[in-house]
Amino acid sequence: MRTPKALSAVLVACAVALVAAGCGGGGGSSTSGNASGNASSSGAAPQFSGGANVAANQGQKKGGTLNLITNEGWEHLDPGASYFQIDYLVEYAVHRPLYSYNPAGKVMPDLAAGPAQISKDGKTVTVHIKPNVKFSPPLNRVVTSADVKYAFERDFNPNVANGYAAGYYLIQGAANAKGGPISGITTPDKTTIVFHLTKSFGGTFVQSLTLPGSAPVPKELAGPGDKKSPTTYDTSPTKQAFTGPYMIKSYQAGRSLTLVRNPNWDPSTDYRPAYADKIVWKAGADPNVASRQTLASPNLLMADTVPAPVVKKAYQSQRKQLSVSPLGDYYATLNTSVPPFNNVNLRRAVVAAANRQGYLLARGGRLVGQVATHFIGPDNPAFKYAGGANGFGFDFLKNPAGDMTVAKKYMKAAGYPSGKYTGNAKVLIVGSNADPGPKEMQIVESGLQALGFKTTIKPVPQQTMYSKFCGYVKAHINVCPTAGWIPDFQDPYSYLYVPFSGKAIVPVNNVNWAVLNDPKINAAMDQAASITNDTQRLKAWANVDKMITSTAPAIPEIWSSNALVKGSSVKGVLDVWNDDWNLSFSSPQ
Amino acid sequence: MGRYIIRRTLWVIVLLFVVSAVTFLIFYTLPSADPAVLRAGKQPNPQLIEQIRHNLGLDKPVYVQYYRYMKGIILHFDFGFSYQDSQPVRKEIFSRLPATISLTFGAVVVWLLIGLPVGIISAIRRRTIADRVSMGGALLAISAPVYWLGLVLLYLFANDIGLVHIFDGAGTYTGLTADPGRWFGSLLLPWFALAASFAAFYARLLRANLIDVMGEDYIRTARAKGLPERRVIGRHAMRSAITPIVTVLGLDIGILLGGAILTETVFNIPGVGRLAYDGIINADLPVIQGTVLFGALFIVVANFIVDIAYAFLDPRVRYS
Repeated sequence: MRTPKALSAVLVACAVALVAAGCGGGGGSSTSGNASGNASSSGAAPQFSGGANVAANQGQKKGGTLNLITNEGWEHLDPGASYFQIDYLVEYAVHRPLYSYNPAGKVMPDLAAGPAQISKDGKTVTVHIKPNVKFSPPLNRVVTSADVKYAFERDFNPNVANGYAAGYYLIQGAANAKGGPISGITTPDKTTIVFHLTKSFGGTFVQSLTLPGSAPVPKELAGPGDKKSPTTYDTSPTKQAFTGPYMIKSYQAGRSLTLVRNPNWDPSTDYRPAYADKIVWKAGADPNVASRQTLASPNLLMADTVPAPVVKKAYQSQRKQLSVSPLGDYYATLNTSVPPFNNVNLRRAVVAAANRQGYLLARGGRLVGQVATHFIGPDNPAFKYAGGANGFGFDFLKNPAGDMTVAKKYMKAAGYPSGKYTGNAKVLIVGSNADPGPKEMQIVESGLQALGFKTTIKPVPQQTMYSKFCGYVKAHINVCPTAGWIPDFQDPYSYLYVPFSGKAIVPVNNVNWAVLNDPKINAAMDQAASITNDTQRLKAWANVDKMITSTAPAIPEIWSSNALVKGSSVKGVLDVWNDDWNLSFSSPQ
Repeated sequence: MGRYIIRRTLWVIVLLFVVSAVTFLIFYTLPSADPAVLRAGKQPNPQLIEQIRHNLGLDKPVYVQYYRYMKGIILHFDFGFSYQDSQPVRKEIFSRLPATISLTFGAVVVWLLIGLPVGIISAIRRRTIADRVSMGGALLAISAPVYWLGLVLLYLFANDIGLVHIFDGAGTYTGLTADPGRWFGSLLLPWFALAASFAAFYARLLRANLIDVMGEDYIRTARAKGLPERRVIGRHAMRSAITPIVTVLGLDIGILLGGAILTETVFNIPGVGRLAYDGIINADLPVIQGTVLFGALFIVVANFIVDIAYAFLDPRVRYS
């Protein structure tokens, strides 16, 4: 999971809280959607009418300066360390990973010359790179496969501290690598790189090559700095070697960033148009002020969260400047490893009793999402195979306001004939003390008390929630209602594996808060991840989603949406997969 | 006097050591989250966390960690690196100090220019309409949170989102050396927002002090000697009444140099306060610790300067 820009300040590790922007349930009839009419790869996101045109082609013209504003600053502009939504806006403008998503969410060969070749057993992946891509000045040399190899090596360097390499780059010899050579990566020639994987994972691995960690890094430039902690390639981003259409000209952490054209970028090798001559980004703005400045301005894009009152204002009077599109989900985990929720029917009863509409209202209403019926959201291509918005038809998820009749049915099946819990267990609910955490805790508590559970609520700071409660397995927290997830890339693996695979459970900093360790689900995940055919893999993951939903390790709360605003005449293009602006497609004119 | 200054200087050093020890204990040994996990970023594997724990020396005894930490500060003025964006904390603080200094001293000038005359007029025109209006306004200004007042000023007067386009809005801060005109224009609204409550407080404080002093025997004597009222107030009454103001002013400057968090946040001024705010929001321990120590340093030094100045202003102060 990459951190979303919204409230990222209070989000660390893997559970996330998204945008608290919304309209209190008022406003339009829509829920979420890509307002441009530019179909996302899921093809399932409903639209609201009259929203901003954020499609890839808006008749943009070359030239001019594109201006951006954000509340939050950048975290890491090193392609090996970058793992943050707004950092990605910069990364994909200045670096070229092997593959990347176009604004519609389609995987495009970027540095790669064409599609990856996956061996029949799914354990070997071969990628040929374009022979004529050059690094920016002052390096000025052609990129070779050795530069990609070094990029992967440094992804495992603790001084770089990549957050996802260990989870997605299942390369032979990588598990014990600390920045040195990795036996499972070979470069037979200057334009070929071969990855030997530890298991049949090729189809999923190729999807993960869209992450910036696969962008080439010249060892002669980054190597000396990579020996320091933290690496100077991260601390001094203006001194990096760039392959994308832009270069970082100036950088003041948390304050400002300027991108200019990379003179060595050859448009014939790239699918990006790179309209703007220059991109100026100011960070640190108050979100209320910044969003109003954006709406009042002709040429400004706001790249992070829009506060609820401004979303409402834009929806009512400046809808052409508002974009709302789906991103990630929220859920309340039920700890499956300890009583009382190690009983599957008890969990189903809790899910049935939950008022999931209440969660939507607590987060801000219809413009911030829609009530979820399973875990893969509308931002993912597997959504349509997972029953779309209707889900799988489980009776305990049928009524979004909660259904006590169904809940009592499952209570009886769980061994409580009265329909009320009569055991001794006291349920501990731990959540973030930041809004809307307390509201979500009260909603889940209300459902539990209706079923006869004795409960205790413990609101704690977000970081503490991760490190000492919900993410600390031995703490045995029964309910964590403020969990959320944003996938790293468009493959369902990154949606479901870490939060629900038993193999992903770790003692500390755990993300599988439900501690779900079902051998059948684990095996189904492994099987799905090994499928190389894209459609079949999506269907297999949809089935995994069904299995997870059936065992009720969590209450699916909402599929969330993200609201963005833009100036009145700027041509802002939305990256569907990242749910933010694409700097190489957006244009001031 | 010399011995007094030396003694106070030693106390300053001791105090800073205490502050550093307390912040170290709070942030490194009793943290709300594991520093190694925070440094490791999102979704790190256990091996990466352990490696970073080792790199940061978190696997060493607490006293060793504190020794290393203090050694870094004393010998190299090194506050470590931000967990959030890997930038050196010292560099971040120093690069943001000019903005904070600009905001602080500009606001000080504004609040003194407003607060002192209002306080004097209220005191010498006691119970008149001018006094009641001034003190009523002061009460309002004290009651208005700077965050709220800043937003109101922007929504009313900023040249981008204001009802009346008069002043530069948020995010327009420019360095003094880069463009003095823009520097001045970009700070006008922040100065007024920050100065409002201080001006009100100083006016009320000066009014109260001046009313007390005006009842003293030596003031009556001065008047009996036939001195003009302006001289009675300016030379005799003010000198005594302003002494507590100097004390408060020194401390206020020290506090604000540590960061005017809310003002810098509303107006997007890239100062130390905004850095501290980001550090708190992101649980960025080195940044929080660095800004806390810097803030403490400013307050202690300001207090020290005030104590020295106090002696000059009030000869009754003894150094023993």
